[in-house]
Amino acid sequence: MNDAMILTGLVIAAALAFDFVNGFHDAANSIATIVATRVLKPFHAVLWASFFNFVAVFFFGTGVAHTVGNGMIDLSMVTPVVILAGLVGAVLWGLVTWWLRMPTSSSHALMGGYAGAAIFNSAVKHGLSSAYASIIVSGWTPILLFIIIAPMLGMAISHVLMKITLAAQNKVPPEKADKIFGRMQLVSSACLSLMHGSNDAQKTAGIIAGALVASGYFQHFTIPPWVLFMSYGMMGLGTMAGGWRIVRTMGHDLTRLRPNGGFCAETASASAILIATCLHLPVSTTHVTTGAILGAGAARNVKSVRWNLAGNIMWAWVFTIPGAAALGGIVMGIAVLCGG
Amino acid sequence: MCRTALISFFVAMLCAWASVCLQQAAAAPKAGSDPIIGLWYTEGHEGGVELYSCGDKICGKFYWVNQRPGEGIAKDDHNPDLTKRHRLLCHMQFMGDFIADGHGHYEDGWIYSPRHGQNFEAEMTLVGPDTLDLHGFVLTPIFGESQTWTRTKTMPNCKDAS
Repeated sequence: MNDAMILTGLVIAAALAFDFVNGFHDAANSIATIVATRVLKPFHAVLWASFFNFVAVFFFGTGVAHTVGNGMIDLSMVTPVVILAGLVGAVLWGLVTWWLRMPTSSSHALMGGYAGAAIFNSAVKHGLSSAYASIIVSGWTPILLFIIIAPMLGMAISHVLMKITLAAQNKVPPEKADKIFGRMQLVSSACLSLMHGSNDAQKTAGIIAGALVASGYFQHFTIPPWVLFMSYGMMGLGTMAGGWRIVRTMGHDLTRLRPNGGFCAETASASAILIATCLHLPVSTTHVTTGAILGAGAARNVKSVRWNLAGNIMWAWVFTIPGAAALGGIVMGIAVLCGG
Repeated sequence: MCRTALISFFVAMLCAWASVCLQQAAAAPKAGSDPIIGLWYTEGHEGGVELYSCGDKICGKFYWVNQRPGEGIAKDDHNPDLTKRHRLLCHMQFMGDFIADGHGHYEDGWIYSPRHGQNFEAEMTLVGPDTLDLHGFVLTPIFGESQTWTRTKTMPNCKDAS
């Protein structure tokens, strides 16, 4: 087995590990409200989310239009080892924030890890003074701005939707409303998973396919169904294995949601992500969904939201890119020491 | 009677098959008339590129190189192969092997960046008749960089500047 084959194998393993940890975070987000409102049992919620994540392929295709770090990192500093180090850095950051029960963005962790590894590579190639030359500052501005804008967008849509819903169901008995919104939540949750599938979940399938092309296993870049099944399966396994920590934070600890709140939060998230996708805005599913849950909770009663926890989550988002970058840089350093 | 009917049937089938083949051949983009072929300015007018057919694939060479007045024709100064550093960028092939899918997308290509002396995998997409999206990447299109190129009918030829 030559070095290239070993590297390809490592990239595929790291991509699958990233998918698994993504299951802790992003996939858990899309089922948090439906589990919290007890509309679906956890296992059924995972199956429901996985199915609609996968179905997204038939709606939006496998164009893999969503790139990581486009216009943000000088491509000349990127090598397969940088990609591997970036993936491992993102996985490590995902594990740290999972342990802290913080719902953080897997996409931001991947961007951070990738940037950190590229910075280290640049420092090795051109010296410490040129380390940051690999970073295209202008490309990072929208990403950083949307750490604030994305949750606000989710929160605003969800808040308005919840206010309208509360006014509309004023004369409906709570039990009947719970039943109706429970059913509607099945649809809104499916829409959210569909948007997640179109926005995020194809990334790792794309990385695996790229590694298989590099190894010569595929002649052309294509994402066959079995790679998609493997990616979504790994994400589902991740959610089953450890997603509950994040589900608890999102669905129970931030605020207590009833089916109407769950429906509004999910519909608002899916709508915000759809708008962002159409306008090519770099939003994170995690950020939008967290904002939407806060918006739905606050519409019922502002005091029902644990704002100090929301503040801690916001800090975790701010530290995701630098934290994952530091880990990506360390992993790149280890790879360089090992002769990578 | 039966024999005549059988022959007529086979002739009709042959004609139908031939007409379908002819229609398909007319519809399929010929290598020489591929809509991507022509002159393109790179993003920010940093350079001019001629895309042309090379066999059944698409290749590209520099047609114009943006350089400061008084400077000589730019050379491939950053090539890791020292023996190639003296070669002129003017009319140098720096991209190739793009395969057209017939729907405005060209994949499996490569592009050489003289600024970095590095090769990248690449794909191109015609997003409009005069707009081209070029995406260079490492390992997978996810880790890449895109540029928008603009078609032009005329462009100064770098050979004239030499």
